[in-house]
Amino acid sequence: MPGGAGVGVAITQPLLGTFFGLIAVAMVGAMFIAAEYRRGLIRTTLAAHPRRGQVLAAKAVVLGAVTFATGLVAAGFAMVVGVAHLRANTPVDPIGVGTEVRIVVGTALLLAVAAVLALALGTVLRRGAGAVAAVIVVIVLPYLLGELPTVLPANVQAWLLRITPAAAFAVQQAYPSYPQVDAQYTLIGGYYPLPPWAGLAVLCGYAALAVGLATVLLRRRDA
Amino acid sequence: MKLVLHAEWTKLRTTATTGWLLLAAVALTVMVGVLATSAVTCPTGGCGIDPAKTSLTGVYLGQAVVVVVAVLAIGGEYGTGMIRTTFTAMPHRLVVLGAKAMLLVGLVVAAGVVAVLGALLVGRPLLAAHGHLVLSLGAGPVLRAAVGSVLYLALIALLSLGIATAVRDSVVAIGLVLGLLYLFPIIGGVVVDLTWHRHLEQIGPMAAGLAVQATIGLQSLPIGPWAGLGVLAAWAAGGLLLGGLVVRLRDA
Repeated sequence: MPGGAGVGVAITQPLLGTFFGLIAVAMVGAMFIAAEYRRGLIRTTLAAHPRRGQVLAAKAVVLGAVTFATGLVAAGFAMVVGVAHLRANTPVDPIGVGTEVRIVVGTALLLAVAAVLALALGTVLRRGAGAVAAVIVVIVLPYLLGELPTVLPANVQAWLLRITPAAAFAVQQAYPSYPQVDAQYTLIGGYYPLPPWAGLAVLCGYAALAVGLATVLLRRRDA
Repeated sequence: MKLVLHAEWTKLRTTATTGWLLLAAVALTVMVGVLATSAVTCPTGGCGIDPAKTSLTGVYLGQAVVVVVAVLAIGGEYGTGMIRTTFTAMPHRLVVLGAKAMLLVGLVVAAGVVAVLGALLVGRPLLAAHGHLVLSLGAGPVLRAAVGSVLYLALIALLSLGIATAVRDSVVAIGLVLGLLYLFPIIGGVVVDLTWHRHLEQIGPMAAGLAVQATIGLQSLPIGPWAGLGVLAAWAAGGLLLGGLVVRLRDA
């Protein structure tokens, strides 16, 4: 039973919808700039405000704030309603309020940073299609390969969840893993190789790199 | 039909991205295969790894590029409004869709053959160096995995083309198709009930379709190799049918 070390079901199961939300915010983020390129509005935007770095920064702030707020409402709702529903049917290992808040806020941050990553890739590629595909491939695919049991050996799976943007899902880990307890600390049980905030920091690092590249390209290239 | 094929071929050929994307699909498939096969270093030589499947891990990534190529084949026309010119020139819309499907399958099969052969050939010595028992390329199960993977990519292209025709927007279509492919197994992974878990693996387009890559432990597979590819073929047919209906009934 995928409850990990305990007896119950992983308390973060109601947050499975994060993946759907992730694809949605990736679309929003990529289209936020790619739609301007497609319609030619970007030329008006950059003519009205020639400091291109500021345009991108403003877009990132607005997008990040909107997706964070949406994610906060969605994750909070999913946790409260979902966990209550779980408790009514199965035994669930309890977690502290602090952990619960970290999971909800962390999930909202994950969505916001993923949206900014999509915005940056959309700026680099100037096409929504490529940017959305790229975001899904770098975040969802490593998670999937880390979860599937027969494709890659366990040590490779653990590295995938350390060095790719998929590491960010560590922020949803509900129960600590103890080195002295010999349990199955697998992804399906809700265990990740990195600590929660370190995992999110990996995604933030990639997003920062992408935003940096996007700023340089936006400044140098014709619109 | 010949004229339509020629017109569609000109459009596909002269779109700057098609060639580069197909090249990227081949390169990524082989590259991931190299990384995966060099990473499998268990000294016992077993550790339950399927050599052919590991060499072909790159298909998980390569298929995403195939999805983009297939979606853009029609989504790009909707994006620029070119589709109205196309349908004015060729009012039989289903013929246009059929021509696009035939050309896409041809291109994806060509790229798929190169990608799959490359991944298997490069993976062989790497796996053998780590003491894994590797079957030759001509062996029945490996041949099935290779041919099946190429067909898998072609079916993914058809599914993507159908969905892109139905939603008429590249970004939405890519989100939908990649979500369908990648999220099905993730959702299936946390389903506790074993019967349901098995059923989800039997009907999911990616899980069922990639069953064709298995060369060991066939008895424990939730669905047989060719039957699994059949499930994906049903998804592709459903996608194309939906796309065909929508393009027939709705304004472009």
